[in-house]
Amino acid sequence: MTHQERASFVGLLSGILLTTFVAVRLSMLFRSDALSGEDAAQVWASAIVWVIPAAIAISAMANILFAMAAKGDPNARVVDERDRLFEYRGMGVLLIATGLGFIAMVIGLSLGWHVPVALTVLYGSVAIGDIAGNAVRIASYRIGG
Amino acid sequence: MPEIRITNVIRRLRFDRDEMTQQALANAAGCTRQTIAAIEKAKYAPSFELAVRIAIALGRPLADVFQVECDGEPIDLAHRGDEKA
Repeated sequence: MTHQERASFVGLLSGILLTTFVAVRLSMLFRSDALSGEDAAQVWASAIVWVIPAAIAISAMANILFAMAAKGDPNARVVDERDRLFEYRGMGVLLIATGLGFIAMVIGLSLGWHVPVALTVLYGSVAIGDIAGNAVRIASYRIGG
Repeated sequence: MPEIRITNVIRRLRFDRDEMTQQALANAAGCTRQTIAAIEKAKYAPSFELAVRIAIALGRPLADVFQVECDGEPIDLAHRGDEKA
């Protein structure tokens, strides 16, 4: 398994973990009517702003663990054209999902959606795109090309 | 558009070269062992640059390493240009 393939696995697992936590947190907020006031967008953002540093921290920790595990192996961090091809493939999936989420959000807002709902749709599309992108990367490695 | 199929004999050439390992070839060509494995199984078509680097690492001309078929007919990469002229 290459360094990039391992990174895709970690990305997939951390994405599923973070998205699950956020989904639970947001569903609790929606049920508690905390997102019905005028400051709904601010409450929504405050509830999930921690996701950004958490994702960075998980990625950094995974890189440190990989580096420790591959100590003494000079080829452990080789990234070649196949890795880059799969990286672009995954990014393409993320871009499509994010684009669709943005379009859904704009259409939803024009139809009178509540702002936190629209933001949740956008966040969901990014999260699903990230998970799907990592899944596509892993599938590409498994298939071979 | 004609159907192009690219095959290779990297596996045989590795064994001809003192049973060179996939890892050794990958190190010499500047890619991962997994990429060499995927190319050998024809699951991944390398870029022209990587194909040249693999040929150099194996010490053989490119046409000895990679073979091309166009609509099922083998193409002689080394002399195709001459035939056209």
